[in-house]
Amino acid sequence: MVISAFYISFGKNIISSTLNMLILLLSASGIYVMLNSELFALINILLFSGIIVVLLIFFPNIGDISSGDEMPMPKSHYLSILVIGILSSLLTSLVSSTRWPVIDINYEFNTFMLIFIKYLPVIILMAVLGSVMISSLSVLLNRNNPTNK
Amino acid sequence: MQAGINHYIFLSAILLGFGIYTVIAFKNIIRILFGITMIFTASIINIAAFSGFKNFNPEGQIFIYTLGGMCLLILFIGIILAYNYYKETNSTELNND
Repeated sequence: MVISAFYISFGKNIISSTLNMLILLLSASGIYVMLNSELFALINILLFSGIIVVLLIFFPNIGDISSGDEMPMPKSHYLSILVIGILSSLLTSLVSSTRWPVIDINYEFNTFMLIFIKYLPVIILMAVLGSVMISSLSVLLNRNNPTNK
Repeated sequence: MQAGINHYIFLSAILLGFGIYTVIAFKNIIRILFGITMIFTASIINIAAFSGFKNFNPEGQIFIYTLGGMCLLILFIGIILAYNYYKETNSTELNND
């Protein structure tokens, strides 16, 4: 997972980055299975990986894009790598040295259906918000597209 | 060796660092979208580690689904905007001009 994340950032062309993104998403879904969230692992495989494949297919000249010299590496990038690396290592050392309490949660019925019983309004709100955003965006895009007039 | 909660947090911090670097350093729209996805994946792994490490926790699950939905929305909007940008300029490189 870390290696594929490295190749997404520093890969030579877009196609290798896309395939490494696919590997990263699949390994992330394996981690979700290990952490007791199997449904989100399934969603991750189906939707997120599907979006990556759609991105590969529907960008028409992606081969031409990737053949170009699209990643010049100026010297300021090395400084940003250094700063982000130091910050990440500080954060991870701080987090790893902390003793996190793992709390045993005892619910009355601690089942998966509780999500759809107790938190159904949240799911409906997310669905309504997403549909409003997507429809407003599609309306805006159709308005700005001169071929539809 | 059994994986503890610190290992998951370590992994998510590494992913977060790579994602932030990818979003900041590159001009390619697809690579920026990949960086945003990596940042969201890091945060989802973090929440999943805290919520579902020992047993099933519905509150954490609802956070995970909310974040996943937001990530999907952002990816969808980003792909549409990137495709429109590509149709206008015939390139996926962002210009600072």
